[in-house]
Amino acid sequence: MTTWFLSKFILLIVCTLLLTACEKETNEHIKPSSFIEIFDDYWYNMDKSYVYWDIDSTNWDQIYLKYKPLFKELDLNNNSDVIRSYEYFQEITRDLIDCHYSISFTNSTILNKVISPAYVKKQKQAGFHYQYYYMDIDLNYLDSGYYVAYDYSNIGNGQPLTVVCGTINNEILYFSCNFFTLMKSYYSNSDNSIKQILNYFFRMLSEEKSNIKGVIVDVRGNPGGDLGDLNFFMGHFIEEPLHFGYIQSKSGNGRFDYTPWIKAFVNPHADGHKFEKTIVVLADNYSASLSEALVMAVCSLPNGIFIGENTWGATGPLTEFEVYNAGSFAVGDFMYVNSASCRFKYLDGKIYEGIGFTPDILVPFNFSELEKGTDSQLQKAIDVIRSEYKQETLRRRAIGCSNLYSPFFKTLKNKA
Amino acid sequence: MVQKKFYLLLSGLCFCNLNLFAQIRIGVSLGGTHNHLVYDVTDSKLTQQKKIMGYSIQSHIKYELFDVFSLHTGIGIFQKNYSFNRIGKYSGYYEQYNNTYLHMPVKIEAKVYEKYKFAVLINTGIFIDYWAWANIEGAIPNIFDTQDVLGNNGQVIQHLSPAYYSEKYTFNNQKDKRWEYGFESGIELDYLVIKKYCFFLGFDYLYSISDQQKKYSINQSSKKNIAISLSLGYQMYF
Repeated sequence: MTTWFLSKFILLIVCTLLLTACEKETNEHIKPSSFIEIFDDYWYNMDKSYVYWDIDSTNWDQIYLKYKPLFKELDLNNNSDVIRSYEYFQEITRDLIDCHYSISFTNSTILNKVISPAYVKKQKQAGFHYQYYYMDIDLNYLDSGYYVAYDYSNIGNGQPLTVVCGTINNEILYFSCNFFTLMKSYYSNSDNSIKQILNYFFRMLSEEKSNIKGVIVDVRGNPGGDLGDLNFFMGHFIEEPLHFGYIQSKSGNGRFDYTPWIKAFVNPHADGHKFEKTIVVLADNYSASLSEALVMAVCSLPNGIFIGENTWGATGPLTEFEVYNAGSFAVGDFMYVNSASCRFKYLDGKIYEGIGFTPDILVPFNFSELEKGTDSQLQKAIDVIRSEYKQETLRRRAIGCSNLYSPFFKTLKNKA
Repeated sequence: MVQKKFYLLLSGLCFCNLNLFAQIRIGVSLGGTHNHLVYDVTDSKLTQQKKIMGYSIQSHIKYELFDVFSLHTGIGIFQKNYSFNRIGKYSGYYEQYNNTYLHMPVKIEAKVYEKYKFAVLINTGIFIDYWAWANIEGAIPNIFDTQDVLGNNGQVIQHLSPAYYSEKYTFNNQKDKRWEYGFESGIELDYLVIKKYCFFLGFDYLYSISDQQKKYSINQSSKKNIAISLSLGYQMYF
């Protein structure tokens, strides 16, 4: 009897081991060739790679249940169905909070169409205004001898990289650029005068005996650019690493699988010096991505202040997909999805994606003033640097007060 | 609810078949564990999963049912660690999970060989684990901590600095399933030192049939642990 039990018992163990060894471990990843495969590939990649699932209002499971049958009815070889698919993707993505998010199509029927949920949402918001190019008006504020340089080898949105630098009443240093590829132009062998302007700007920052009482960095309308410019440009204002927030990306395939938060730094440039005078950063509704990172880095400094409007709200940085296995991806040869690789949290613990970073002093866009040749945002920046607030900043620094949200800035906000 | 069922099962198994002539053995063991997470990482570029060592501390209560059979249970700590390691140009970056479970097996054990002071026993049954705590450590590339170097052709090359971390894992109620159960089988070599006292060397194989995650999304990849342990222990007969 005991032997019988024993033999059955051994058989049970063997069966257990055999059964448990047979589980399939991998899922096949299918290359899309029909609309149902395109949808599956898109849905799965979004599920895995999108970094805002735990704070986004889009119900991704509902999207699957609703749109899978709809895509199943579409024919990839039918042009009207291809256009219908574009409309479906518009509907699917309309509430996503990632302000970097866009879909561009490589299918010939909808080749020029782009889906940008953030832009559509912003057009519906109160106070929406189209992008304004301030340069023509702002040049009138600068002392004679200002610099304007172009790099035609660096084109963004059909425009060459344009850098403006000069002084205002010989007491305020002004700098602006229309996008960030400064380092690329600086070290480029192409014929451009960006390097001379940047050298002038950096020299003015480092001269202790200069008459400069403050700096205005104008990133209004600047959509961002090369991440390396953050260290290259902001690194000249500091001599120690500047902690200005945290980043987090995805980890694994799960919708809610995230890496821990890690600190985001601006590292000082080799020629960087601690700039102790007031730094005003001007930004508007069209300042996005790296411009927003720069705004937040400036605000992390005890002598930094942000004037203007809420920024665009594309705070999560972009990089190659393979760095974090998250962010942008292609769906076969049909479309390309542009999305943040990480999400960014400012020092106050808030994620400003989709909302935009709030200015210390809000100065709304004023078209009628601009028509008269007055840039009220720039004027406010000049006033702040000149005014008693600057003295207050210096006094606070003298007593060692360098709180992020010091009463000084709160006073400024309230007065504004 | 699950906890209540677990206690009912345990008390039932412990007190059924009780007879006056039964022999009880109580012991403790220490050992090393090796865990494999059954999880699909094929879509994560330049990433490999790595099995990681851990430790186990286990109490043993054995209740003899018949001549060669006994009921084997106990409670202990069992680590099921794993890591995801980047390869290729991201070599050196990794994310390691050190997961510690409260472990309770309920197994039937049979003595299949006995000679001189040695005995060989095999066992099989189920286990119920509770994911008590976890720690994550690793290194990830930090795109907001770069060192920029100028290449020979004037091109700027960015080197991402690694961000190292080691922190307590915060459980996510929406995602993490902390109760785990599955099958457990093992083999044990006993050496009787003196009457009623023995040392043993044990090998166990644990196969989880439950997912480490709750079902929170459609088409979700499952995460299941398969672990082995090798332990050295000491038992007393009562």
